[in-house]
Amino acid sequence: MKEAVIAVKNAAKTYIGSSRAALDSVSFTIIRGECLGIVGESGSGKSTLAKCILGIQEISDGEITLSDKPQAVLQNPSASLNPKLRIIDSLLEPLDAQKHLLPSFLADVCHDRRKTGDKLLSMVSLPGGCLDQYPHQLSGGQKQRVSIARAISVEPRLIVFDEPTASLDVLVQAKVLNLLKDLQEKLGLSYLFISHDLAAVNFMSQRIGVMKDGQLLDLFRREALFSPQRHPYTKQLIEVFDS
Amino acid sequence: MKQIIVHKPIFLIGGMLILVLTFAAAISFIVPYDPLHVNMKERLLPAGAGHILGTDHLGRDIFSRIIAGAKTTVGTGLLILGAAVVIGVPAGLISGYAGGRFDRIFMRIIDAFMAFPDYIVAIVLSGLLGPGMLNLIFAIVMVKWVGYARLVRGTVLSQKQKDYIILAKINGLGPMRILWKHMMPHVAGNVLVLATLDLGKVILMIAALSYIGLGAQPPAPEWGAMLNDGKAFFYHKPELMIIPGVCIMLVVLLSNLAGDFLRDHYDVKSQKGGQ
Repeated sequence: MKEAVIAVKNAAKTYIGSSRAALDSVSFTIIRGECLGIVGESGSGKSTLAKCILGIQEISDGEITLSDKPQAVLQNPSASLNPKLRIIDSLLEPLDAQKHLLPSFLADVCHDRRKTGDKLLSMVSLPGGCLDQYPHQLSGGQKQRVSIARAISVEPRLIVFDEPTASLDVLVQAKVLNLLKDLQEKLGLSYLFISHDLAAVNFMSQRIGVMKDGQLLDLFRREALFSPQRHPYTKQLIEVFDS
Repeated sequence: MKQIIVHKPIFLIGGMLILVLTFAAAISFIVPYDPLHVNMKERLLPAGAGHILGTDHLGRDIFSRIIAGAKTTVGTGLLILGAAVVIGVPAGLISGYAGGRFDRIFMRIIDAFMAFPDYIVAIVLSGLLGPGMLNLIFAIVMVKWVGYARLVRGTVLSQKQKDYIILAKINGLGPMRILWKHMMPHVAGNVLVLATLDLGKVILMIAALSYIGLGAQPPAPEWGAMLNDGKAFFYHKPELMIIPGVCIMLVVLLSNLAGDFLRDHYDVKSQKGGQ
């Protein structure tokens, strides 16, 4: 049994002033090197889950155990980068904030900001020339790649992806998903991949969770997606995607 | 070059300051006469070879007084703006970022400041504190800093919910570093534009308050005070008022043009940049 990078136990969250629970006793673990996909419609509590794991929101009940500080890639690539900062300054923010960290894949370049930036950008197939540009000079896909490079830069145990491809066009989506998969295999990262796109989740994940109304209805290995034992709601989702 | 100016407002501020400082330093070489030297035998001379712009009612060289007055008026104007920015920007940053009750109370205080017209507050303050350049500076700074606090707070409010701030928090950046690294670049451009546009207003205010005797005290050369000195001789020697008047007008015009130019530049960039 590999070690767990995150264990969520009966996590619950109710927003102040709301009668409905945004998260209702959600439990799961992610082991090292695994990608858990969470799929669900809008308002199913997916993003609340991400926020609670990232520590932006407090859970009202239950327990979230993290072995390390997670990194995140969020939905809107334009909002993820400060438009007034050059790419290099946004990219190296996690490393600048935690100077003691020395990711193995950056060991040879760690004492030079520019080389570190070059290396990180090359890992997400961006030219090093982007370092001195401003976000508005990059396309949406390129910005998302910068966000991904930033997330992997500290070699985190866990990266939370909250709809990372939702605002990209289909071709770029495919490229970004392939890139994420390659990086995961190369660096042995663990992902929590949240999306409303069952196909993307199916492509990315070893295990898939289905959320509805704040509850984790179904949790199964990818191969078991079409098994007859699936929850009725999961079957409903599959039907929507088949048609 | 354009790129440098747009992306690094610090260069522009620096450039302007260096210009003014060299100007002030050069004054001692340019000024042909002591601006305070009274010579009753040469009073009210017309412009000519000895005195480029003539002399005033006490025989003082007007050109020398205009140059020395530039130091007083423009220099004081920059000083006031600097003080207003130094007080207003951190106040706005903290208030906007902290939010909550602190922000609400702070904003009501600012509303109270803004409820009175600038000139009334400045006149009352410098009237209460007594006439003099130092009190004038204090009075105008008290009037002006609220504008910067408000502007900066608005910018911070519009940015602090953005994803990149959330990500910075996740990465463990403290409030001070977030304000410095992420907010200052947003704030700097707007503040620079407002300060440039304000320079004209502040200079007008200094001149106006000095004209009514609340600012620079005689015999100190100051453009507003020079207007006041000249008003008794307006009929037979209108230059005494026209020359400092034109100077005030030119400087105000220049700073307004510079402000407009900067504002256009920043607007263009924000359109191109999306947010």
